Amino acid sequence: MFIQKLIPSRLKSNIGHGGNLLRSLYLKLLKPQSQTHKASGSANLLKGLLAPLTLLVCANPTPGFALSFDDIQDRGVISVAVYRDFAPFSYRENGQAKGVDVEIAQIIADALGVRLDLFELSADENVDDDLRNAIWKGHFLDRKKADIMLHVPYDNELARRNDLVVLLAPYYREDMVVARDIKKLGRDATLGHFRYEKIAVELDSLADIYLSAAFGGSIRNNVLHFPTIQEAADQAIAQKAFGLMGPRSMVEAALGEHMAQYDIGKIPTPGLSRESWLLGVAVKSDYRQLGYAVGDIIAAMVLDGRMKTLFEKYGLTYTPPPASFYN
Amino acid sequence: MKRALFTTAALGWLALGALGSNAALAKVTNEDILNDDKNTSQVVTDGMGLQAQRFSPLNKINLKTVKKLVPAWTFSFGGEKQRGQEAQPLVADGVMYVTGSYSRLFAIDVKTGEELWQYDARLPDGIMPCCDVINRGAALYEDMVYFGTLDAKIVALDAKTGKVKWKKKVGDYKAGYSLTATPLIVEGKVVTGVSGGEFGIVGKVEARDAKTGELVWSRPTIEGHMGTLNGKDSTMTGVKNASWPGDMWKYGGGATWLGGTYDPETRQLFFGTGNPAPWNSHLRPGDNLYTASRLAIDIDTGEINWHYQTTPHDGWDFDGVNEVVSYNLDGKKLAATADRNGFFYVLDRTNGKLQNATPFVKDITWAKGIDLKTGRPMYSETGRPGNPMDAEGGKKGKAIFSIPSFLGGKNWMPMAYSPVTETFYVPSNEWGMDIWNEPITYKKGAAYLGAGFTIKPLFEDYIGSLKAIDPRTGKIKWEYKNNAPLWGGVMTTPELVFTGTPEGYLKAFNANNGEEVWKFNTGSGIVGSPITWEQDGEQYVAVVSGWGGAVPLWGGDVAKRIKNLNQGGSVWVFKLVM
Repeated sequence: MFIQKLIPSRLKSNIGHGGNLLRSLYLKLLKPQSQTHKASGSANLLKGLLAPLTLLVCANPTPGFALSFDDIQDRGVISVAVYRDFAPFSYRENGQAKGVDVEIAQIIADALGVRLDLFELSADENVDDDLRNAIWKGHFLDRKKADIMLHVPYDNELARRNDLVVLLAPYYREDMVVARDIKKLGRDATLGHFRYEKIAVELDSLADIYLSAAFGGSIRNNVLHFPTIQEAADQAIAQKAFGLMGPRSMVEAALGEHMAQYDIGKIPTPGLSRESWLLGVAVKSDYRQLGYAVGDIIAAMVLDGRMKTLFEKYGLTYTPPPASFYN
Repeated sequence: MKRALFTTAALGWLALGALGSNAALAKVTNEDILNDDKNTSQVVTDGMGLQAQRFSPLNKINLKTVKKLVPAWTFSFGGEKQRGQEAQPLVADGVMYVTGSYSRLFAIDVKTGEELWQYDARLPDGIMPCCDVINRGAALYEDMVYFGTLDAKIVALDAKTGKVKWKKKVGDYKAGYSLTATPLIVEGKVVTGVSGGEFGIVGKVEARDAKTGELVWSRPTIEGHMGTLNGKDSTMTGVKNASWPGDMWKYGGGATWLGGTYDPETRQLFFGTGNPAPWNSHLRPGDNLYTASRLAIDIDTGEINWHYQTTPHDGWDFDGVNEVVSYNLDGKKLAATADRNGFFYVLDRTNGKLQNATPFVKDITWAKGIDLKTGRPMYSETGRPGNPMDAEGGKKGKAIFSIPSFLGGKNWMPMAYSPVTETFYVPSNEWGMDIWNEPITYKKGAAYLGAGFTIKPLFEDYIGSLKAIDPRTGKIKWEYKNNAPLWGGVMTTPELVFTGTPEGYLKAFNANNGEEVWKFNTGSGIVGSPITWEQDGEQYVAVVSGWGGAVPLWGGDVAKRIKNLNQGGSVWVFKLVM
């Protein structure tokens, strides 16, 4: 069966758009533009400051079918894509949509003065696929699209590969951390301990690949795999494993009230390809105006402390994007 | 009692023969299924016989007459769901049963092409089938017709009305399971594998009571997992941790997504298994049994009689799912299979011992050959994709060029065997892939270490290649070259070989020398398997048309050769014009 693979999205977009190979593929940071927004109540904080990651599309732009900024205002509804079953960011509790991303989506809709239509996205094999399914093409089963998508890594290389979307408005930084059981391992335990003790990971995550390969494979036999990070954390809490590795927010949410029993943080991880990354918003590349409006709303939340408060409401440590983005 | 009455009624109607009755009232018995390779008046199994030789002795359409083959009728699946028609139709008692993409099943009057009924499975929201929306066909038994759905259920319908008789969950679609293969019905049991592209699934083969859907036995394909028989634990598959490190066997892959075949002579099922997970082989030292293997399974108990692993410690995504075709030659009970990895294997089907293995595509890079003594590949030292730790510091890993590509020397599309020419007709593709570790990838918002790849054609003028292979020597007797990759099944008769092309043609070739003797364009690409049968003294040929499947989803550089192909969804039926 098909394995986890990365398909260069450039090729996919060519398939999807009748093989238009003329699209120019150089990366360009857009010059800041000043403009006014219809968005009520949102100060134009970002004037000249926010630089969306994008590719300039030189060939004829593909006509878009999702709504433009003006259409969203006219129709009175914005569709925001979030991941399905993705605590603590977007999940359902007793049928009610909850989580950090769900609340950000609601704040965006409120600031634009429109109703929120939550687009729950089943994750595909990688974010490139998700961008195709949620933003620029729609999934092949129903072809529905969202106006914007949350929780998209803000990354130059990802932007270069996905020329039909714009990545913007990073709202927090995610770090790869290891939670280590203090009672069992003492404080400041290193990965070396896990040559002798079990460590739990989510199946097929970066932590899984890293721990299965690092240090000449000497940890491999002690890695316990679970379909979700919550199940991995539950086993750690039940003392079946004494470590848990993954993105900080996922590790913290999964350990919940047991967090205090763990040393949680970045520790030396030689050979780890990514130690931290930023999470932000994606819009379709020809929806610049919508992108700027959403960027302003996110920037205001980061700067006035609402974002931090929101993360803390869910028991999460908040790490803002570098100050250079928003001051 | 009711059944007896129905049968009487059916006989009455047939005897009158005047009502133009389309009602499917005659029942498909176990005898019908066992004799499907010999009874030319119907096609009641996938593979035109349980051994799946896809051979029919019918010879009215032959080298001399084939030029007069013309459409008799055509039938549209309708709606907007025009893609990926990979089914093989069935014909029984005047009714054609054929599945369409998006989990649809149609019953059609075989004389007129009129629809009798249609069943549309209601698919849940948020379903994420990995590999297009295809379905490979239905199965018949007694008064029921069976098929699998994209949300991993097996559905049994009343063959007369299309109403649901029972429906059973084979796997959880939320965990990545799906079901696209044709169910296999043997001795009153409906036998299925399971599909799933996601990391974290474990393949299995299951047998259910065909009348009620109750599970009889279950056989997981990865060592360490427990099988069941009659509701109780039976035996463990293999030996836990014998060929897997740590707890990786728990989520080891080995999906049985292409279904299986059955050999009545040895009373064994033959199922192939998919690649191991995780995909990067450096993380899981060992053979990783029973991934990328063929399993011979006892029909009564679900025990594994023998296995043959085509790609031990797979690192290229060479699924071992391709069909095992049983045949007898020179007094031996043999089975042949043409693998993703580019080798054509002949096994003794009584014990799984390798008899011969030869390359059927050009310039294979991953192995120098197969050692006939040990049955193991002789790996090429430079042929394995890199270790993810080599992509240190966020740099792109070194690319290797690997032949075949992960789409395989041969993919799902079934080959045919002719006992007349003693030749296998194998639909294959000549392509390779650049593959590398790609450190800047993300999965569900989190950094990830994926593999990047690009599929590349090997030759300017063709990718697809239909080959006639002598199973005694592995020698290629003739080859037909096609511009686009071949993705449809093959069928053979004493003088002819039929297969479809993505360009839309159903083609017939001289079985002895490969000369193209007939073609007809069906208006969309053919990725299904043709059949032939006889009714009212005439020989018919049918095939579904509708471009799709994995190639347009994963095509890489191949995209240029297929970008102008149009989607569709229809059945075409042909017969000789007088």
